[in-house]
Amino acid sequence: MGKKRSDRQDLLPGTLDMLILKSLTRGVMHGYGIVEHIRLMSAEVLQVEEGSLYPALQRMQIQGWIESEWGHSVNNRRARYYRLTKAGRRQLGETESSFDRLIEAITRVMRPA
Amino acid sequence: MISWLRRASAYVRRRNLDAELADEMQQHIALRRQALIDDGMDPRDAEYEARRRFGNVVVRREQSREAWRFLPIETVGQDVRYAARLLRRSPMFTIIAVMSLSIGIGATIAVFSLADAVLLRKLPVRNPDELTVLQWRGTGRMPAPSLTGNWTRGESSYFSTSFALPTFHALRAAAPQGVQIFGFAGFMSLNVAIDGVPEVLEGQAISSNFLDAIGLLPAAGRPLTEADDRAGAPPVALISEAFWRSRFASAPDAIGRTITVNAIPVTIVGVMPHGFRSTLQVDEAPVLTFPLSFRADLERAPSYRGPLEWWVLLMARIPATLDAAAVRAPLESTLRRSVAEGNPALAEGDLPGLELLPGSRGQHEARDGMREPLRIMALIAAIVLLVACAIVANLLTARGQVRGREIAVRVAIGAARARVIRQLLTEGLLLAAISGAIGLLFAKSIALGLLPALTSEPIDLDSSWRVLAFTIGIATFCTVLFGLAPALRTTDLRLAVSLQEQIRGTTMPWRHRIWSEGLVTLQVALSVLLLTGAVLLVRSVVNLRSVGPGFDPSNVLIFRVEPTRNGYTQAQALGVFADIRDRLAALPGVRSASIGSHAIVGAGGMTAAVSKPGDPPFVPGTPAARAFIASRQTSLLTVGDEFFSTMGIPVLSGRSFTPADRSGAPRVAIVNREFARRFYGDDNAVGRTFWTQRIPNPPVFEIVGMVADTKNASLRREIGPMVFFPYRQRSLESASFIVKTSSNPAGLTAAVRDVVRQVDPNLPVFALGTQEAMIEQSFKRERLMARFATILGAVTLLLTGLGLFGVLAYSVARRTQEIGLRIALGADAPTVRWMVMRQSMMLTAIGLLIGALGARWSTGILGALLFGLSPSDPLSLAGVAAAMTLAAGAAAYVPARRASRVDPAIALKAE
Repeated sequence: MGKKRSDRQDLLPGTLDMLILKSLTRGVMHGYGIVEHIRLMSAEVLQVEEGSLYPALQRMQIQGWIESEWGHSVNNRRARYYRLTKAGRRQLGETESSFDRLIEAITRVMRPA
Repeated sequence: MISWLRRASAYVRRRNLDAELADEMQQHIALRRQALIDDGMDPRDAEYEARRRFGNVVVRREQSREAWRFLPIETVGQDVRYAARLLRRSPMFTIIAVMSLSIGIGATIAVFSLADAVLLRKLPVRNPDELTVLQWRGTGRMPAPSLTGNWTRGESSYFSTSFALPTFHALRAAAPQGVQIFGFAGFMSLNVAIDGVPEVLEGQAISSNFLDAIGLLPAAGRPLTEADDRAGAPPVALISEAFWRSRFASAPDAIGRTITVNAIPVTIVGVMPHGFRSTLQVDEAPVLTFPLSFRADLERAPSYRGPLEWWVLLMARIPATLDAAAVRAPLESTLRRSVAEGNPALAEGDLPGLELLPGSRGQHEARDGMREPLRIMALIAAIVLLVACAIVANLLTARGQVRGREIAVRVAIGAARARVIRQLLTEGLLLAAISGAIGLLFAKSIALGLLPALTSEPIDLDSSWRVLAFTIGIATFCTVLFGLAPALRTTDLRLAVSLQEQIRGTTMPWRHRIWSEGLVTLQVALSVLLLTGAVLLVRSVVNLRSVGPGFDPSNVLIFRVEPTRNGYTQAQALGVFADIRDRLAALPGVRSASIGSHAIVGAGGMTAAVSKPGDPPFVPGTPAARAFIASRQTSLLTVGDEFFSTMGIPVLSGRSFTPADRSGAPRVAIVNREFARRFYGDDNAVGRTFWTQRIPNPPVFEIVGMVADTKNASLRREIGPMVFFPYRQRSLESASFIVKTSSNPAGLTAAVRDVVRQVDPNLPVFALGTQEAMIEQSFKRERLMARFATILGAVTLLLTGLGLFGVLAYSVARRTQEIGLRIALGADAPTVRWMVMRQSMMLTAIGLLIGALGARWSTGILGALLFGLSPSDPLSLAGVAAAMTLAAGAAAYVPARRASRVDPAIALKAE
């Protein structure tokens, strides 16, 4: 308890949003599912602090990029499922292209051909 | 946009959303736990690990909530509610803080509303900023043979705002396109009779284009026209809207009624605009308004229409599109031409120049005289406000220490420091808001109480939006002043932690001590400053009261009548005066009665420059001539035969006046001893001669008596030379009657009015009062300022005493261990008490020093109000120092006793 705010986030700001949106292109998921998805797809490199997901999810709902509804999970537990909206897809597209440009630029500097 | 709507709808459902979120998070943790158990972890370990991985649930919930809340608005509401609860829980603190602040804020608002009404408020006319006041300035000979109104003699020039009527007409005709020049004049009281009941009312005259130029319409009836503003036109008048309301109940039939003004029947044709008083001085509110040309009829002097009588005040409306400087030049040449035409004897160098002054607030002379006292009042109020803020700052800091733990916890669980500071500031703001509202309530009464210090006339003190804005501004300023520093200090964790550690220490951290002791020292210094000012003012008033006026002012009733206004000739007026005097003298309860041109103290007066045989030739217009005039100024009084005996002024040599001193008989005069000494060098004035006009063959007066010196006009002024003339040899249009009664003069007012009514039922009596009251009136300003300063000074002394008490009590509480140690080691009660007393004296001494230095430096501002002592009077300062030391001792008494009663056993055990 009581970790300083500054060392909770390992990701660049906005990256978490992008990862969530991308995960949701795979389909409808609940919060735990998104965390697991990121963990597995990144081969355990990205260990997002699980709680940090939820403020981001709320924020993105207000911004209209995702929407949610309650349902039942596999073991008949109540869970909230999130899905991407059209606006969310658009946002993902924009974020992805600027992300690609960023990575390309960094790569050029780090690995000059 | 749409996201805003989503946010709003989420806000409405926030409780549900919150519950859902909590549920969702729990589900997440449950899923993680299950996964870990499935991987083979022990269920209890799995629970712990699942929570650990999730992170801080509380913080994440809080962060999530931010998505659907209007954070700023909500948190502000939260802060206010919390602050209100805190204030309710510590009533002592709240009461002291609110009381001190509301007095400080109330006094400040009161002074500001006075300044606003007097200095800031613009005329309620169209585009007041386009108005300018016309003023002329001359350097040679005085171009005006006779001037009614304000004029000022400067070092090398003199200036005035009064012009002759033909000059006004010339300027109006010569005004460039778009410029409107209008004229007006306030003048002395008028004898008015409405339905036969005589009274005295104030009046003004305006030009026919006046209302048009200021851009207002009459409230009823019609405005004055060109046709009314001619000699021989039927007499008409407008009445003020306030008068219409109070006297005629705003009835439409008031218009068309005939009233008698100075014995002339006048028809009321309209009502002046609503809310408009006049363009005159800020404290003038005329009831009746006439055309300019009618003044000649009212005064029964056709010279008011001519070029030799200068009395019309002029203003111009210059649209913003025009250049004022370009407008001035052609008007100036018109002015010079008009003056030269009217007075061909003037040389080129005597002709005046024209100046355009800002006119958005009307005439400026009365306002100028109010600036100095307003400045002093503002300083006093500012001091009280600062002391109040210092006390509240100290109280807040002390409370902050107590809440240190709570604050530390809040910061620890993640509250932003800025957020906590904001909450603390909200407390301060709430205090300031409550105090501001209370202060605003009684600010008006304070302002009304102070108003007579500025002027005897009533001024509207209705709050403008400026006063309200000022109140809000002051409250905010105070909050920052007393709230910010304590808030910053309380949330400074480094300070809080070290404080907790050192609570068991032997002394307080010096940084904290410096802060709270510094504040108290500041309070002491400010109190000393204010109290010194108050003592100086009070002593001045005492000095003024003890000044002997040179005559016996007790049991003297004075009043005035002005018969020539009703059309009496000079000869008839003299007869009226004599008749009234004789009847007064015959009244039971009257010891003696006399006539005077005006009261000797407490009224205005006439002066003239006296020339005597042996003087150098007088060349008008030269600097030598001006110096001569200045050195020979003498007060003139026209009196009846019984004047000196009624006033109790001893006749030192020669005789008093007799009925033989009448018109046609040789011209005589009586002088006071100062006159004799100053102009003749000895006490033998009787038999000598003088004159007052430097023309060929002036009337020469022979001195037939010399009387003892008395004060004249005001008690402050040094005794100067005075000349008394017999009333039968002078033209007296109005006269005062001085009645010496054997007992309380107020009991004779009805009888006195009766006498005048018997002589002429249409003659109103005015300015009725006792001589003693008039003398008190003459230093009304000093009295009121002294009262204001003393009351507030006492309040600051009390607050400072409280502040000292607080600091000392806190200090004793913190040093309980140290005290216990000392007692255990053998210190006796007086030694311990002295410890506390010494701290109190130290703080007071430093404060006294700073305050005394400040007083040295700033009491000069009181200069004009002081009498009989200098601003750096050491006795007053010593008195204040003694009072402050006493207060410090009293403040230290209880803490000192408590310190001496500390039980070492208990003190040393407390951990």
